[in-house]
Amino acid sequence: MLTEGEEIGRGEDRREMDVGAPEDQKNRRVATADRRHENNRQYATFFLDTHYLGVEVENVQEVFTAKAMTPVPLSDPMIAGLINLRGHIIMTIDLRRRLGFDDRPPEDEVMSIVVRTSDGPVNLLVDRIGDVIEVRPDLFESSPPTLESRLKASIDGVYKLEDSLLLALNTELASEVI
Amino acid sequence: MEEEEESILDEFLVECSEGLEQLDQQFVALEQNPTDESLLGSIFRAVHTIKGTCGFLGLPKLENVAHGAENILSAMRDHDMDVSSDGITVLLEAVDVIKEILEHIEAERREPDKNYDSVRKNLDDFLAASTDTEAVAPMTEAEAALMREMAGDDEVIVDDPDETQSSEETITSEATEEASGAEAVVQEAKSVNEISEVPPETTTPSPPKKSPEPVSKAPAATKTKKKLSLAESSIRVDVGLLDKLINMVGELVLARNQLLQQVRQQTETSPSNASSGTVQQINLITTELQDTVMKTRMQPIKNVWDKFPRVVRDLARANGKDVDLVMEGAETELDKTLLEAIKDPMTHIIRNAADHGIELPELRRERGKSEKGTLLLKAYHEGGHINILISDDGAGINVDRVKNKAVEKGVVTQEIADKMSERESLNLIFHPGLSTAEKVTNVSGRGVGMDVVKTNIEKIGGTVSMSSRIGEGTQMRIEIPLTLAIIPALMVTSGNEPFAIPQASLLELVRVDEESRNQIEVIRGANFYRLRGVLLPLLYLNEVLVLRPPKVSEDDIHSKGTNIVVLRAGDHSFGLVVDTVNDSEEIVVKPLSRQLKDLSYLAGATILGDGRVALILDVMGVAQEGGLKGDEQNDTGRMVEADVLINDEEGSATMILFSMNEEDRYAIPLSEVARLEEFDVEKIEQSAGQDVMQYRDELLPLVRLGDALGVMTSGEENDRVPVIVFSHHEKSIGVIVGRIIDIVEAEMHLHAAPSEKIGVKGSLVIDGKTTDLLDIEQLIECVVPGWLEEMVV
Repeated sequence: MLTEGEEIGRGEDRREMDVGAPEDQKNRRVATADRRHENNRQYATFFLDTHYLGVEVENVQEVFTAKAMTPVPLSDPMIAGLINLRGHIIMTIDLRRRLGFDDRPPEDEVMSIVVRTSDGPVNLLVDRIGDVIEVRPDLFESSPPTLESRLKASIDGVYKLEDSLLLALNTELASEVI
Repeated sequence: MEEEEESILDEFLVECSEGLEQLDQQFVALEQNPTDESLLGSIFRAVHTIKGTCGFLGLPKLENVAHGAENILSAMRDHDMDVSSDGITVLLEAVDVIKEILEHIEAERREPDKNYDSVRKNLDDFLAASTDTEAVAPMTEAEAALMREMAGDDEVIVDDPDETQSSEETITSEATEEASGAEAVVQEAKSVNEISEVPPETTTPSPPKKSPEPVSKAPAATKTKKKLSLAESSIRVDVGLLDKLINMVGELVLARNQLLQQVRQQTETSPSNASSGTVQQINLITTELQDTVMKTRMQPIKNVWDKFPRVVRDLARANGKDVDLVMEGAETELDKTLLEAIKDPMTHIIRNAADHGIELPELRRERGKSEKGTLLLKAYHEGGHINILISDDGAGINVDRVKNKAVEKGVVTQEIADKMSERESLNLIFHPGLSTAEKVTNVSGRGVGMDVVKTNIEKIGGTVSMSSRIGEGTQMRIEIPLTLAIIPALMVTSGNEPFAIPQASLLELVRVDEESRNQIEVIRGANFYRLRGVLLPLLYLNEVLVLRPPKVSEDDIHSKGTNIVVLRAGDHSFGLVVDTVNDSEEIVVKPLSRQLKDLSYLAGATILGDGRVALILDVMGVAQEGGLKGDEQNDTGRMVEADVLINDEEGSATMILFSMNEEDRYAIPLSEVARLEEFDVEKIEQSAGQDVMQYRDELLPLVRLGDALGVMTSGEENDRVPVIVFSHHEKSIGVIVGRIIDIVEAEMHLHAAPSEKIGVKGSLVIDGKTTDLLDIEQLIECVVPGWLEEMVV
């Protein structure tokens, strides 16, 4: 659970981020959100801390247990390093850091989800992998305004599932290290 | 010779067919969108390239048609003519004719017999009808004059009995002997001088009718049996496919390595393992496969350079020049795509150098140079890049003329031009539509060359820069990244991570044992190693990159000694301290994610034999990151830089010369000085026992250098004293000296001072007089202790 102090800290963060959020990012998010009202969509789901997130299945290249990677000195702390994926060198982003979560305990298992982006494949580090689920568009709701800023800036919106909320990650935005 | 010519012609044909394929589409697109200037520019360049290449291949008919088309495109580009459907139609007809001629050349190895003058006339008529005649007239006159001039030159060459002629030209002479009358003169001039302008106007003798072409005659006999069309004998493969292939082979190599390891373990446990033979075979095949696949992409730069001797020779002959083409580093390998990309730019630069750079022999003699001009091509790896230098010892570029031209063409205003530095002015040459060539020839001078050079090089992430000295020559430097290139690299580890250092930057490896660790000197936090008596600045890779320390105790490292990789970063050298030095390996440079491009120390990444990713260091960037080449913003960086300067025996620096009492002379590098001032003695005040001065709303502490050095200061009785002001960050300090003598450029050949004295680094001989080089930081430290430390904070 978060302490009070951290809550306040995040509030400050949000103000900064909202001012700085590029216009095109907002637009892109709206565009994808609209499209979502047509058919059921499939999401590959995963967990980050206690949160349930998903990426659209067609954006997922592969999933595996995270392997050793080469750190990139002096780069943004969100960049966990580089991995060799069958001859391609792929940048790895620690999604916990990217979305403003606390670092995972070092002994915890780490999974890799390689997603396709316009800048080539990007490897995202997550905690646990869930099922591939199909969601109805009518369950979709755009990001609640009170959502933590870094998280809000990287998701399309939220699916209100029966027993939980699924945060629909926008892979383009999430793999952009700002 | 024949073979070379054949390959040039083949290459030309492949190139043209590619270009023409696109041309049709581009013309149509242009018709729909007549204001698209970049499209027009692209079409113009394509046609220009065809025309230019025809010039030195000796294909006058093709050239004639292409030239006509180019004139129209040029008028369109300069807005002398609107892009109209009629215009496009005329141009498309010309493109069809060009295709027809090319097909004939491919089949018969010579131009068709058909006369294409009517096509040219159509083009010219259209041009004349659609443009304001005044705009065209001067150019055509110039061209005509040029033609006459060139024809004149050629006769001299042909008549010269000492002139050695290649077999092909002998054929030409014979051929022209068969021709008759006045026409023969024209043809002779034209065929020998293969790149002369084809006169589109009636002021010159009528365009040549069919005559045996020099290029076609010899090969026609030998090549008749060549049945396969060029398109059939080679196959075009998508580069993406090759990349995929290379990556898969890379994976195969890794799998092979693992297999080998497993088999080795099995053989140890059960020696009777029969599969080892098969495994060995897989091993061999994999290696061979890897080599072959790599070869599909890597090519020596020689492949591009090979055509240049011919280009230079033809150009030189056409202009009556004597040019020696020297090539260094022709074996430097680079990726096919990069090679393709630099081909046209290099051709342009070389043509420019041979055409405009190098002077006529008489002029060279007058200027005291050897009559033979030299054009040097040099390729080498440096600091994670491939550098290509193209330098000539010609006339150099007249910066004022470039500026005038730029103002004349409206590229810059006169006011801006006046303020431009020499370098900026030189860069104007890369501006589209600017050409300083006084005459338009068919090889250069359309003002398309340099802007194409720049855009093409920048497209592959490279840079072009040029320097020029009037009377001494011009140098162009093309720097292209290593992306996809294979380079030899030294593998090292630091902080438990593997790094690759491009071998090209490597000077030597030094290992300092525990016993000789005292050879590593520390000056205010900066480390130096005495390498053969010279101080080599040291950077610790784990500190520069803020890496975790290796998981061994400090004593352990010390007992293992210090590994220093001596590297060259531009003009400086420095030592990079790493944990371990491993093998040297050939590595494949892989591109990095866009988001990592900002890291200056990083040149790329590579995959090691064990599948791990290793970062490739950009030596220049590491030096910068370590403060070696910084903007003199931090103190350590400054000091190191000054030291490097002194260590460099060849280096020179700008110095301020001054004296204290007319008998002595002192020097301080100008780079360390903020300002020179003269202060009223009366205004010098005292604060806390320190001389100060109200200066720019602040109190400037003053140091009397005479006191610090313990020498007499003459002129102290004067009303005003000269003061040298030094600045560090926000703070300044003034040093009162006796008399400032001069600012000079001096060789940094430092002699040890006869006796060691605080604040004196050593002695220099400047203008024949012994001059003490002062260590101003040490002096300030001595007089105002703690000032520097405070400053660092």
